[in-house]
Formats: sequence, structure tokens, C-alpha cells
Amino acid sequence: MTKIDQDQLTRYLAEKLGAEQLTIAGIEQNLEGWSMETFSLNLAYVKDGRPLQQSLILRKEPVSGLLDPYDCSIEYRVLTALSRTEVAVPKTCWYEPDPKVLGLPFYVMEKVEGQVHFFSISFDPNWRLIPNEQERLSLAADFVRNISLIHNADWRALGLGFLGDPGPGKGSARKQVEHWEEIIARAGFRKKPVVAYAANWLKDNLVDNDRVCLVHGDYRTGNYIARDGHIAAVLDWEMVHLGDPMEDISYIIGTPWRSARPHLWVSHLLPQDEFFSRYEQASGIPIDKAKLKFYHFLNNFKAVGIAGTAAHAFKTKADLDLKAGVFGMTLYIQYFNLIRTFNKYLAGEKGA
Amino acid sequence: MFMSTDLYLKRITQALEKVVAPEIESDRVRGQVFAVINLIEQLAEKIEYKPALIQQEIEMGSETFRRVVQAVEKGVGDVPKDLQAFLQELERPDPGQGLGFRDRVEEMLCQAIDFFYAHRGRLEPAAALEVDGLIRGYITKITTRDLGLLKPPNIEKISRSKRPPKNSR
Repeated sequence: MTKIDQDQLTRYLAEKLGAEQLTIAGIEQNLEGWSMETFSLNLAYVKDGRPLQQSLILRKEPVSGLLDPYDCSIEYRVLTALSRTEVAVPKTCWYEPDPKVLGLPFYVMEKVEGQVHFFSISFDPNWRLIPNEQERLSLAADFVRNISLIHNADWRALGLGFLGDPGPGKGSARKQVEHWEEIIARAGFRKKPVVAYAANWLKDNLVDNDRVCLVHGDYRTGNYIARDGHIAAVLDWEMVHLGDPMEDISYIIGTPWRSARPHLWVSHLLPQDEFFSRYEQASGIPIDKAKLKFYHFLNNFKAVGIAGTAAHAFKTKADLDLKAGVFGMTLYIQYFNLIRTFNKYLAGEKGA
Repeated sequence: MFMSTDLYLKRITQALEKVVAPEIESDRVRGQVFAVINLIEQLAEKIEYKPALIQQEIEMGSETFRRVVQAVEKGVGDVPKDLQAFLQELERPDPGQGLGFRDRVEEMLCQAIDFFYAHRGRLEPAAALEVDGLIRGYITKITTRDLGLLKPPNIEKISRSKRPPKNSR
């Protein structure tokens, strides 16, 4: 568990809030995430002579993690920009780039009360993550609505062009393949035949996209806060970028995020066909099934990059957290998933 | 294995000593952690990554490399010198062994795959399909084997570990 210098943080928050007698009554690290470090803070302070209490969330770059290299200013800027839209996001407070404060850059946002659904078999043997039907249906509606809003966000007007416009045509696909290939190479796994095969195939089969959108990159149940049957805030924007909306759609319908048989609901919320039709209706963006196949490969390639980064961090001692050692070992699951996807789609395909 | 067994065990003991032990309040439990560290260190001197697995990777990787390079050479007419040289190296009675040589075989196979993809348009469609199948077949066998050797991680216990009630067993 990462230690936070509480004296330093107290001084920082008191100055930012213009508060007197500020105390951090509670500080708790969220251990469910395996990437950016998240702390929940309960504050008590006096402002303008009035005693106040406030809960905040602090997101700090880790020394090393699954999505190296980190730059939490991206997430901060995206959340800040999206607060001007109808996308459910937490309200941001401050971004602090100076490592003198807490060792590494961080940002602070308001705490959104609610529940994050955590995938769990032992807590939930039937794999019914959202057992209340009413809640599931209303969350499903919000789930579709929010991803539609994200894909239709006017990223230029919102000042999100800094994320890097991949341009028309094959730009979206090419940029993502090159990005993840570079990450895998940096972690030292580009010289594995399964990676070489996948990288070449992806570059040989890039898909076109002339509708560059804001792509969340990790949109699923487990990455939003639910409250009273509604999505109160979409979280985990660490992989946000500009690209093809079908990349998100392919990720969303991925097997790891489905409910158990017989339903196999997308993100534990709704059947795939229903998700497609409701998304098309809400977003005005047609589902392109051929592109979903390409992005299915890319998402598996991405998973190799994430597990490989953890393996590299553990190997080089950049991250001595045992979780990095465990997650690094899942590289073998990701390799298997990657080639299984190719075998599934390409078996018997002419000129594959 | 993405790192040698001894290094992997060393990282585990380092994490236990530097990350886990300082957080433990109970002297008795902290002592247990140091006992685990000692036990792992004892084991580290006596075990190694199964050589038969590495040998299997070398043999299968070499065979795939040979067949891919020969098929591509037939279609393209020529292959880079590095690939030629490694093909000859593999013909020696004892081309190599161990993790280092396994890594080299895999690296050369990656170069062969890159070359194949860069020139696959010059191969007859059936030949290209055959090479593609060869590569995928090899990868499938190795990844399936490795998956079988993996103990799935209990992510939820690691991420959301809670102390059980004192009277529960």
C-alpha cells in the first residue's frame, strides 16, 4: 500500500480550499484498481468561520503500473472537459504536476457516492452482478446513453484535440496498433512469435474510420459508479483517446465482461442485439460488424500489452507489488486468448 | 516464462521483505513472512524452470522457423542473410540450449514472420495460407501448453481481500 505524506497533503488541501484547521479525518486506498492509485479522503475544516466536511477522491500516478507510462493530467483534462457535457463524470478540483507535493503528479475530484459493481464469483456464485431487475434495466439504459454521449461528444469544441486526431481512413486503427506494439516492445515482448504474428496481421488488415470519436477504452460495468439504479459517474479514463467508436463497442461486448450463461448479457446489463440496436438509435452510429472483428483482435493485443507491462515492472523491480508479479503471469492467458481469436476468425479463411 | 525462475523468486522475496513485512502489525505474522522468505530462498537454490519445456520450445520454434523460411524463400526467391545464417546454424549437431537459445530462436522466428508478412503478396495464395497456418499452428501449441501450466490467479481475493470473522474457519 502506498504511503501518502498526510502532513504535506493537509497543507496542500488547506491552501487549495482556502480552509483553516483542516484535518484529514479518514484516508483509504482503493485496492480494487490495479493501475492509477486512488485514495478516498474525508476532510473536516473551517471556512469563513463555518465548520465543513467534505469527501474527495485523489488519483495519483503510480511509480509503475499496468498502463505505463502514466500521465494523469490526461484523465483530469478529459473529465474537466466532459463536465460541460451530459456524460456522467465526477467534478474535478485540481491537478498537481509538482512531484514535490506527493512524490508524483496527482489530481483531486469530488467523491461521487454510490456502488461500483465488482466482478466476484465467491461473493456471487450465480454471477448475477446486478440481481435487481429494475436496477439492471435502468442501468442498461444509462450505460447505452453514456457511451453514446461519449462517442458524440464534440471533442474539438471541448478542447480535447490534444489527445491526437488520428485522421481519416486507416488512421484510427493504425495509431492504436502502433501504440500498443510500442508498449509491448518497451516491455520486451515484441520478440515473441505470437506478438509478431498479431502485429503483422493487424497492420495488414487495418480498418477505415472517418468518424473520429472520443473513445473511452475501458467502458464496462465495474468502471462506473451506480446510485439508485443510475450511472452517477463513468470512471477509469486511463485509456481514453481519439479513434474509432467501434473499438469501444468491440471492447464492451467482450467475453470477460459478460454475465453467466444462459444470458451472456453485455456488461451484465443487456443482450448483445439489444445493446446494438439501442446504441445505434441513441448514437446514430451504425454498428459495423466487420470492424468489430478487427477491434476484437486489437483488444486482445492490448491485453498482451497490459499484462506485459506488469511483467516488465516486476522483472525490472520498477514495481515490487506482488500484484504486478501475478498480473504479469496472466500474459500466458492473453497470448492464448490472442491466438484463439485468430484461430476462431481465420480458420479456413482464404488468404487469411 | 517471462523471466528466469530464480529472478522471479527473488522478486517475490524482495516484495515480501520490503513491501509486505513492514505493513504487518503482528510480530508473530511478520515472523511468519520472514520464514516464508527463507523457505523460498531455500527452494530457489534447488529448482529451475523445467528444461524439458525450454527444449520443447526450441525444437518446435526451430522447426517452424525452418519451414517458414524455406516456404517463403521458395515463393520470394531470396531471404535476408540473417535468416539464411540462422537456418544454417540450426543444421549444426548441437545448435544451442537453455533460455538464451530459446529466446534467440523466438527472435529469429519473429524476423521470419515479419519478412513473410512484408512479402506475402509475392507468394501463391495457397502457399501464403500454408505458411500462415504453420505459424498459427506452432503458436497455438505453445500457448495451449503454457495455459495448461498456469494456475489461474484469484483476482478477487487479491483485490478485495477481507479478514474472515474470527470464529470462521
